Amino acid sequence: MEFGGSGSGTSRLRIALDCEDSERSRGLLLISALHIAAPRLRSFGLVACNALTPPVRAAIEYLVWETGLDVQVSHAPLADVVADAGLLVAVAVEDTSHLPLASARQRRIPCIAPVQFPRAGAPFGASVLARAAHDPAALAARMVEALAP
Amino acid sequence: MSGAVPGRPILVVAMPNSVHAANWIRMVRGTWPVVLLPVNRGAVVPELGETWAVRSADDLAAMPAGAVGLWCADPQRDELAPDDLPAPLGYPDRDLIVRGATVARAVEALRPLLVHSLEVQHAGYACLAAHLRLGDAFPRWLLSNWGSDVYFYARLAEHVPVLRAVAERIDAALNECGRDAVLFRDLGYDGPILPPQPASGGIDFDRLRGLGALSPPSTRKLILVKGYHGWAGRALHALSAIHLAAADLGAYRIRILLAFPEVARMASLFAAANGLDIAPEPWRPDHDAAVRRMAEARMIVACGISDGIGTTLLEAMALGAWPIVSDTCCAREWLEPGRDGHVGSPHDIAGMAEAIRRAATDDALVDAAAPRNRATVESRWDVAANGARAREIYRGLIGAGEGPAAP
Repeated sequence: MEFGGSGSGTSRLRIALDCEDSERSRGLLLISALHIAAPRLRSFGLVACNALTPPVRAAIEYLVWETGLDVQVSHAPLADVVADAGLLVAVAVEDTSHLPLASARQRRIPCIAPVQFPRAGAPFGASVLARAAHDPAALAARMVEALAP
Repeated sequence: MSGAVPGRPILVVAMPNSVHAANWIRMVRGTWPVVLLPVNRGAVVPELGETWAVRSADDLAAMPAGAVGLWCADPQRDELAPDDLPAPLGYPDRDLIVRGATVARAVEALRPLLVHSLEVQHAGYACLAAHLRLGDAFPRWLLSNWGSDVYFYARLAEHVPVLRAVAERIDAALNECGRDAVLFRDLGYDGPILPPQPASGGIDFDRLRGLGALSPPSTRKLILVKGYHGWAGRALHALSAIHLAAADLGAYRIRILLAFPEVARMASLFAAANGLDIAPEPWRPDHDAAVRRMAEARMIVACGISDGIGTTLLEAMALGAWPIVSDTCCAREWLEPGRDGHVGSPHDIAGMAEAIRRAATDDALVDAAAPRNRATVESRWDVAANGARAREIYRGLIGAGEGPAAP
């Protein structure tokens, strides 16, 4: 399922998004960051994973209606989508064990994965991104920074 | 039977378990017999008062004057299959929603002067299906557009053609927000634009304590957060804003109204991380208790990507709680942002955090807003005035000389 754009731009950099909204991921907060970053994301293909629940699908359709972004909702696991992506973005709760961060890093794919209320012993990146875990504008700024040429 | 209100009825198609629907019906009844056709199998809320089972015109003729008719005829064969229309968000299909065939049957049996669908995706769509069956035999049709019914659903591709079909067939649309009149025009509606009116009708200000009998907002130590989270609500955004403002909130109790289960579970994480007193608030079936709670609040935080004019906002304005709401509702039609409350993007959590911090620390701000907000809702949310306007709308649609008995 695709919302907006031409959808098939194979040469465009793809951004893999964990849109799960649950007690371990904050997909709706990530979608809010996309609203804010939208003017800077038009040249990218967004691939939304874990986005099949009705509230998240509706939020993505709403995002596309408002911003015109090109968002593909994928049925594939996030780990598979990451393999072809240029950036992985997620907002986790307490830890990131459910995210394919290790495989992404092995492939040298940049990851932005702030963690809300990280458990003791969380990786260094969790504290660096503490603000972005709760503030969509800060997360949007991180994304734009990572995508800068 | 003595005491009956004679004449053809108003058929109200609505949720039986909605306090808003019950309040609306109580507000308008008395001039015409009113029959509620339930859109689901939910229990009738007690606020509706005495009901009278209606399966035929004979039942209606025997209905006592103080009662509201309740359509409860057993479904016939053609009422069994769900309508082939999109379901509201949160439903897998329309199996649990009233069929257009049922509305059509009630219309044929009762010959109502007017059909009033309260809400669009359940009631309005069922009336559309009935209208398609009956064509010109369908009575005048008033559609109430509640909350997000058009503002949100008109952005969902599956719903757009259905909304267009509704907009082309209704005789009048009653919106909560002036904002939505433009949306109806875009959908092809060319009927009259009625003055907007809250879905909840109004409240009796004679029964509501004045601000002078309440503690000043600046002395209150309670923050209320609306707990809806999902297709429109963003309660976890509001809690993130509280997290960002936590340094200034140590003196406050933070209570989450109608917290969805995941919000209730996440609340404990926010509380532990910030050392704040955050907890879900039990649901209060007694509206007076809910009002007393609002009267103890310094502020109410409601975040969402779509709404109309929420009852929570209107109650906050009536009782001195500083409102912090999203610009995706029509709060700007009721208050001046910055002076009377905060109205911001639901995606701007940092801005929401700053608004919370300001309301928690600026006594003059919250005290000054309270009387202005009270005056606004007293002038626009009064049940007697809004009831008279609603009956005038009904009269206008029904046309002079048809049916109504003396009030």
